[in-house]
Amino acid sequence: METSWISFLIRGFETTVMLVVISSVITVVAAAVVALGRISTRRSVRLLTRVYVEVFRSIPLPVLLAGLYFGFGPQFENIGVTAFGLAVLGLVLNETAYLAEVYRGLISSVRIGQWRAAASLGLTRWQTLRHVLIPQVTTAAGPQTANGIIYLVKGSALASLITVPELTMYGTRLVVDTFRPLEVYLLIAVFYLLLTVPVAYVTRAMTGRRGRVRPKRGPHTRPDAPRDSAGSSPQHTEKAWTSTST
Amino acid sequence: MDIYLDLISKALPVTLSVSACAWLVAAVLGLGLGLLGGSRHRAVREGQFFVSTVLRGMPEVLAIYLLFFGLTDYGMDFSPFSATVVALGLTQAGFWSEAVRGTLDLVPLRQREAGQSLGLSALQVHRHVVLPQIVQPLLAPALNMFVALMKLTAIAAAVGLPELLHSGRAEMDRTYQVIPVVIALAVIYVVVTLPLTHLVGAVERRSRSRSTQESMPVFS
Repeated sequence: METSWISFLIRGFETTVMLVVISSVITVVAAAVVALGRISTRRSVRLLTRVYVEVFRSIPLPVLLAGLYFGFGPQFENIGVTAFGLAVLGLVLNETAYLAEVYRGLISSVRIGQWRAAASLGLTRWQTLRHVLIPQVTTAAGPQTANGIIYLVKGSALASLITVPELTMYGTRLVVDTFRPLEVYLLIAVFYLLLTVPVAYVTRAMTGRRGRVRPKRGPHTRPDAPRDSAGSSPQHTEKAWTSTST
Repeated sequence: MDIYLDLISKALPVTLSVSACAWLVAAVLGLGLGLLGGSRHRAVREGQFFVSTVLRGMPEVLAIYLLFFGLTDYGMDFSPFSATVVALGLTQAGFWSEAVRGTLDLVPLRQREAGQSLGLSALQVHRHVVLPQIVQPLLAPALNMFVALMKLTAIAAAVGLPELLHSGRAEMDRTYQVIPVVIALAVIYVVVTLPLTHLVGAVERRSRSRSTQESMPVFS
């Protein structure tokens, strides 16, 4: 392993970071919008967002990326979208479907009595969401969002399959030059783990000590209280890491 | 329709068998690793978290490359099939172990202590006290893992495993019909995984309602 390897790989690493940052920002916003669409009062909006979520959760990311690139690449190129843009689009379409479901689950985990309480205070539906429900779940959404970003980091490695010059592609180029696949790919693994492992440790620190079920404060998370809305669980923060979503 | 028939008869079995093998590897390794997370030694628990975090944080495609390209110089020739099975099995073992560790919280510490005070060895406590209680809560994650693996298998197209995506690409090159193949792949994946995803949800809801019933305090 030489230092010249690292300076070579850094260029690919920059593209990877760009890819992750851009798609993360878009994904978080899009997922929030889709989550609100899933609980919309309009049936057509609910149906549309539901179909989107179900379909894009079922299509694997590599298939989505290949489909976009090989199937619609020329059309996208005509309107000035490069392979990088397609990779962002693929990552966003894929991860938004998962994260939107997570956000929806969080919002609907708030007890339904709070909707009624807010309504009795004269708040509109939107005001209830904005001032009552969403503030209660933003803390719980943190670890889940971090988890989504880890998936985006891992997913960005697949962008090399559609010719985006990110870290994995630079790695493959280096392998062709040096014939040292094990060392190069291990080095690249270190780069990726530098992005993902710290996130996991920060998330763990945020969600409290592990190995112990700690009921969170707040009326809606009392574990012994009967809950009257579907999909609620005090284990939501824990679930992020136990379910895979790629 | 030829495309669908071809993909379903030739490529889908590959996807399914690779997923099943990787699932088995992940389940065995993940169970062992996850049980370490219930150790009473802090160092072991920290080690378990670090290993599972590294496995979970590793891009799957890189794990496949590492085994497939990385180890040939060292006398280990992985076929696309075995490289994919081992790589996906390892990375998913990280998720498995966290699922297992999460369910350990469902078994109160008092029960393990009770087992020990009856003279059971650590192994016997796990075998007779802990494991029977975590099997049911692990059903949903186990099923979910299989669905996830089915989708992850598509990554193996990068090393030429003739699963759905790779066969689809070959079909594109052969017939120059790109968009129909893309649609066929999407349709097949949706049709196969969507019912399974809903099954996971149903099992999850069922075990959740059951576990809340069972966690009602009886003697304490």
